[in-house]
Order: sequence, then C-alpha cells, then structure tokens
Amino acid sequence: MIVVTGNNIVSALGFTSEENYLNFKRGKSGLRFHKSLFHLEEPVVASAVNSRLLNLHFTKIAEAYNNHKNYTHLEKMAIVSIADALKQNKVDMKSNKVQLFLSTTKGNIFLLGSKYSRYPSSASTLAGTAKRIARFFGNGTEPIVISNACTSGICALVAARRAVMSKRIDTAVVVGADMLSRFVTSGFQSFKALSSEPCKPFDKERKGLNLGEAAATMILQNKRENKTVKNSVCLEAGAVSNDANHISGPSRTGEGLFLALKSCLQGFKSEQIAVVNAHGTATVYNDEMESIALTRAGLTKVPVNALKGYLGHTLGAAGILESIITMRSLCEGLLLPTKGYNVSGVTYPIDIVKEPRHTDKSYAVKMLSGFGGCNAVMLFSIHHDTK
Amino acid sequence: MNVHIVNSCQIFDRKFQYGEKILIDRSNEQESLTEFLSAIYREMNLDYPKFFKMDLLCKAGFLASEALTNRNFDKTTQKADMGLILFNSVSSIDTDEKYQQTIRKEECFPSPALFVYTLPNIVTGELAIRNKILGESMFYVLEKYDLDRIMEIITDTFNDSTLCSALCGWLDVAYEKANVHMFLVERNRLFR
Repeated sequence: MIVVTGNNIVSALGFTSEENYLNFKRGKSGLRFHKSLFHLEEPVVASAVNSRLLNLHFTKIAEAYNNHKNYTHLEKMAIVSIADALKQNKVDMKSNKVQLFLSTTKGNIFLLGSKYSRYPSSASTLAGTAKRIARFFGNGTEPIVISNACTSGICALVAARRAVMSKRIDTAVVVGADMLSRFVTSGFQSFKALSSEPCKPFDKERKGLNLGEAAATMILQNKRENKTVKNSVCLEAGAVSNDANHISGPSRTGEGLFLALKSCLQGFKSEQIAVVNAHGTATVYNDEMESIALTRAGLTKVPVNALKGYLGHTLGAAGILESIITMRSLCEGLLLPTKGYNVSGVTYPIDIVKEPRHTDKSYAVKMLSGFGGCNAVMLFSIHHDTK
Repeated sequence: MNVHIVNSCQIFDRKFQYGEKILIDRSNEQESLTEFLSAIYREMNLDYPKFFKMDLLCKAGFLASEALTNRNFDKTTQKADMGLILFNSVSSIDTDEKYQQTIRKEECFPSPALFVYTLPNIVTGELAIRNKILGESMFYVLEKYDLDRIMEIITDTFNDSTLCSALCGWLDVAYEKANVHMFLVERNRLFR
C-alpha cells in the first residue's frame, strides 16, 4: 500500500499544509486584484506567494543545508515545500532509493524573456530545474518531470506511486510547482479564459478562471516498510485517459474523464466516497464537462467540491495541493465548501458542497482535466491505525 | 518485461527511418526543419490537413506515429486500451521561443493558437485525436535520452493499467533539429 508520509503546501495562504488548511477552513482567499500584472494591459485576479516571506523561509533552509547558490522563485517555493515535508519523516535524501518527481507546466519559463543571467542555463529547462531541486537536498538520482498540462499533479502521483510499487525506489518525493509569469498569464488572457473577479466554480455566473502560484509536496512510501505511519493517507488507485477530441477544449461528452473515473473506481462503490474534489476551474466548458462525466460515472449522489476559489488555478501544483487539503479535511470528517459557488450553473444535477458538511466516510476522489485532452483521477483513503 | 516492441521509427539528421530501413534521406538538401517534415508528409502520401496547423514537435510526432500505424491499424474505432507514453528533454522549447516573441513589451499580440502548443503534452492530444486513442496519455521530461529509463516507465505503466498497446518514445525537437525514436509496444500474452 502506498502512503503519504510527509506533505506540505507553499501558497499565498501559508507555508505549511496546516496553515493553508486553517485558512481554507476560515474561508480565506489568497486571490488579489492586480491592475497590471507583468505590465499586461488587462487586470487580473491571481494569488501570489509573497517573495519577502518566501525568502525568509528559504534563507533558514539554505543555511541548514549549507547551500548558498541562487535559486529562482519557483525553485525556492519547491525547496521550502520539500524541506518542510521532509521534517515529518526520516527520509535520507542522499539515498539512491529516493527519487524526485516534479509536476510542472512551465517551470522557470520567465527566464526565456529575461536578459539577466543570475541563474545557470540549467534553470531554464524543466529537467534542469528538477535536478537543481534534487541536488539542493544532496539527492543524486535523476529526477522525472511530468508535464501534462493541468493534469500534471495527479499524473505525477500516478507515476511516482508506480515507481514505489515497482520497488526500484523506496521513497518518491513528488513536488508540484508553477509560478505566475507574463508568459502564462498572457496566454490564458488570449484564450479569454480568465475571470476579472474571483472565480465561481460550478456557479451559473461563472466567467472563467484565476491563476495562482504554489508548490505542494507529497512524500510517498510503501506502508510495509514504514510501520510508523498512523492515520495515514493512502493512494488507492489512479487513472489517466485522453478525450481524443480536441487539443484545447473539453470533450462535450466528458469521455476521457468518464473513462478515467470508471477505471480508477473499479471495485469501489459510490457510497464509500465522501467527496469528489473536482477540477472546477470555473470556466463554462470545464465545469459543465465535469458534471457530465460525474453523471455518466453514476456519481450524482456523491458530494462534489472545488477549491479554485481559494487560490485560483495553481497549474502543476493544483492536483497535489488540492489533494492535500481534501485529505486533511477528511481526517477531520469535514467537507470544505466550494468558495465562490452560489447557484448551480451546470446542466446535470450534481451535489455541489456550498456550506461545510460533516462526513464519516474515508475515501475521496481527485479529478483534473487539461489541454491536450488529458484527464486524471486519483482515489485516496484514510487509514486509522489502531496500533 | 511485460511488453514487446512491435515496430519503430526514427527521425534524425534529416533522415526518416522505419525499423532498420532509411525510407527518406534529405541530408543533402538545404532546407529548414519545417520543409523537411513537409517533404516527409508528401512522400508518405498523407491526407491530414491539420498537420499544417501543428507545431514542429507535433509534426515530428505525427509523422513517426503515421509510420508506426500504417499497416492493418484501425484509426476509426475508439481505443480505450491503447495509450500514449512520450518523453523528451526540451519540453516545448521551439514553440515557447516563438510564443515569447509575440509577448514582448513593445509589441504584445499573444495568440491562443500558438499558446496551446507551449505545452509538450499537446502532441499526445494530436496523436490521440488522429488515432482515436482514449487510454493513458503521458508526457515525461528527462534530462537526456535513456532507453532503459523509458522502458522502465512503460513497464510500470502496463503493470498498473489495462492498456494492451501504446505509442511510445522519444521526441526531441529544438533549434531546427528533430531527434525522434518512437515505437509501438504491445502487452505480452503472458501478462494479459
């Protein structure tokens, strides 16, 4: 059984999973109005990680690891995130049985448009960035980058879970990270996908998504080798499917997501599932497609929530970040409300969580969909150990 | 191993190779990568106008995948048991640089048609659409070509999925060079 033995979130709402979770629970949002982000003409609503605070956290860690090289904002977020997750267990990062998995869409893409060279050229590639993060911790293995658009986070967990199951490695450090940039913001603007106000997942007034930046980490290990874990979060199953329909638009039938749900939930009953944490970007087509896929998969009675109203769409970090928050709330028997949601604006009747709810179930589903027609689903569970 | 390689296709040094045989050699031509890939398209007698809308990464992946699916391959039936497992080292750098040129501060005209190709996994979407592949599609970025590592990840995928076959391989396209090694794998009978 593959369990999570450490986790962290670095975002506009805090530098630990716990700090983030408490802020989510209080209904706080990290989204802010920016009149001109990166000198772009249109204003945007986005969540940013304060670089002064990030540097404070990073400097302490850099001293502890005695590493004083230059790292980018993205690398610092990832390093701070991994360092905190490592505090929760006894992973020896120098072991060749420990491997880093980086989920990112665009890594340090800002370097493409900048003339200054404070960073070595390796920082400008995804593989180079991953290696810099791994080497910071003295890890000598070759990291694996998963770049599957908005589904990267769950895809990375799927790949990392398999690597641990194969016994080639005994610990996978999975970090998802993306940062705000002129490159990505202008691209989403050109798609007319951004909302000029805080996003409203599944709402009838939803107008598009908000971008956010974050890093989130899950450390995966095999339960049999790690007997110390209590109340552990387990990665039960994962599945990835393609719509084979369109490279930038969701399928009208939700085909890929439906297939991924069906494959991931094989052998499980919908009554066992406490909540489906949807992708819920708050674009018209994504949320509609998710409601179709959930209906086709027979999950209309299962509560559905979406967390983009708290931090926006954090791209490569989203799948890991939202899974951590979902499982943390499940440990308390709580379903978090869909911030920004008021009245359903999807055709198919699904049970969207509007106010906090109690649950005593121990399974949760995380879904993601993205450009390239990709869809990814992961089933998580909580195990209460009596030992 | 739970899979075997059915056939393979390579693009390198302006050559197009299927299995052990070089089908097209244009290493003596003075042409751009775009022209070279268009020449392969014509020589293969393909009829898929969407090809001309694709970026170079997708074009290269498309041509290699067409060679791998030329015989007795059903492109019209939806295949949930077929997947796409692709790798490279440069992500979508070719289109990233082209897009970057369109968002300079002096002159900012970003286009969604270009922006979408700044994701490396778009090629999995293009090949999924062309061949009606609905199974797992993944794009991995590794520091360098490493066939052992690639086969490990493919094997892991088949151990943890219901895939029967997959289009796989390496797909590096950058700075006017294409370095492609794609292959079709099928699950071994013993592992069905």
